[in-house]
Amino acid sequence: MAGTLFPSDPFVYRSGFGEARDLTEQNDFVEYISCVEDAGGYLGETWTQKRWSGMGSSRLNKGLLICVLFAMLPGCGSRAQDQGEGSGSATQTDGINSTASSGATGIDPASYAGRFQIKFTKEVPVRDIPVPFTVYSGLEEASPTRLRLRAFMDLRGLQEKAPQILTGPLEESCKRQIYLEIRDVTAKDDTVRVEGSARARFTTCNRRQEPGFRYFGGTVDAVAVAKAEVKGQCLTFSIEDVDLNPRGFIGAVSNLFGLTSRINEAVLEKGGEFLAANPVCPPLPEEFTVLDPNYESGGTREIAPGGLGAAITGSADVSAETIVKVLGGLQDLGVLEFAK
Amino acid sequence: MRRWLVFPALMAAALGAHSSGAQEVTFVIDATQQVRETELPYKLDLSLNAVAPTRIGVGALLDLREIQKTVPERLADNAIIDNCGLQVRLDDLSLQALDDAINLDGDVTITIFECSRTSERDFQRGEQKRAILANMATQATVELRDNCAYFKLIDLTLAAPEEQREQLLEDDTLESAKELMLAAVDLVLNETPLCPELPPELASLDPTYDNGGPKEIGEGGLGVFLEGSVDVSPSTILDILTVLQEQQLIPGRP
Repeated sequence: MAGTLFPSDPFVYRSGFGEARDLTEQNDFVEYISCVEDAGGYLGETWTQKRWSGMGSSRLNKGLLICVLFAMLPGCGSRAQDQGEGSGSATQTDGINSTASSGATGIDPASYAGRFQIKFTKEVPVRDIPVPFTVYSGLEEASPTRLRLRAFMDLRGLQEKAPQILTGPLEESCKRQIYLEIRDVTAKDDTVRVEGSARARFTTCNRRQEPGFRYFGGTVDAVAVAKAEVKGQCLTFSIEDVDLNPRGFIGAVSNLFGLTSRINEAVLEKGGEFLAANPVCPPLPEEFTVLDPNYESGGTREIAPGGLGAAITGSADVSAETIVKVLGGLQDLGVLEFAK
Repeated sequence: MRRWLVFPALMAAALGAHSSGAQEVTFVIDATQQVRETELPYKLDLSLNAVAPTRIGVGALLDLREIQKTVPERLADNAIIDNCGLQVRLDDLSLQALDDAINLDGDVTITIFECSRTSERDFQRGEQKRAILANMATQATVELRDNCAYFKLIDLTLAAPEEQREQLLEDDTLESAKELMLAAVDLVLNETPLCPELPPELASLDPTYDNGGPKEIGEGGLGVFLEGSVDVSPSTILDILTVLQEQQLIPGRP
């Protein structure tokens, strides 16, 4: 999986000068310019225009050299960092493994209180990766016509698989490719802290609208804080905050040219889109679904220490009609069978 | 595991039911009726529908066609009455429902014996005086008492062949046989009320029946309907779920 998401070494610039020479061809050059302008704040429009408005071939070559130099640096830097990152990620995952396997302690029984209680575990695929969910739920009579529903979802399985689920390309357009590598997900109170790194590559677009010459790249360590909102029985995560920390020498350069803020923007925007489009829907007992409950509030909760969980409360109107419907639903589930 | 697979179907069903407004669910329940030492199986069709915000209407149809088949077989060649001076044997019985009536037709052999008293309490059956073949016809109905259905014979007619008429009139044999048969049958029927019992899962829906009667199922099939209602609340659902959990039909408590 990781192999396809990350080309063997996307950030190491091997044939820079060869490609740079190709760019002296006029058409490519024009495209290159337009891409730089698209990238906006990265090099600064005024700088770009000043440099390139002359179009003299010697100045062009000099300009390209500067660009190529920029492009090479983060590549070299990120390669060394990648290796360290790899070993770091392995230990982090192990850490979560051991947390996840240690019982159901740390879950507040009040979060699934009720006269009727149920617990079940089910595997649900999230982006094709099977994730075990354990759900604790409680039902009780809230009024003569209303049931209160509480559910606590143990998401430590999801937490453990999160690096695997979330690692991958965030954006793969011809002018910018951003890859995320998630190392660790931890819960803190009602927020989720995601640690990883974002690798960004800004490229030219060639005529086939494919990434061409890479003029800038960088890896930044990222810590994102996400919050979950309850929509139906699903949790929709949103990024509250991203803190980027560019690595090494290029970090300073990145900051200088506003690259960090561009990556920041991309992570917030694209990451937000991704999370909004991929809500996490832990399974709830069908017996509850039949009640067609209204999920009113909830969010992520920490299963101390650091474990990811989510609590949901809701209610269901109960009338004779509902009960008949529930009975029908239970019958369809095959649990109410009285005849051979 | 297949329980988890029906989720989409269930949602569709729930939504579908909601849009059509038809809120009815029907259960077919295997039940048995205890008659003396034997258990006779029957089917109970239970239909539930919402009749008011907190009330579910209950319709129970007891499908007694199996009993209808086995009872005449069991009764055949048995003496309905067997006392010192009179024996009535049932040779043949047919049991048919017609709309809201139950018709019983049969052939009986009435045998009259000499009977002499041997002490204050004991009688001694003597010689057979005569035997009469008669035709029996009766109708039964169903009465509702204490949430149970009781069968009751409305009337009974015994008809003997023409040539034996005169003799019978003379000593009133048919009349006394009829009275004794009615009494004997009623005694048995009173001992065997039909009290449909709901399975434990639905026990919290135990209805109060306020109407009932015979009902023909298909062609002549014997059935009994009961109508009633039950008041419900959210805890009805919790009761049902709790039973399901106790029976391990749904996942257990944390």
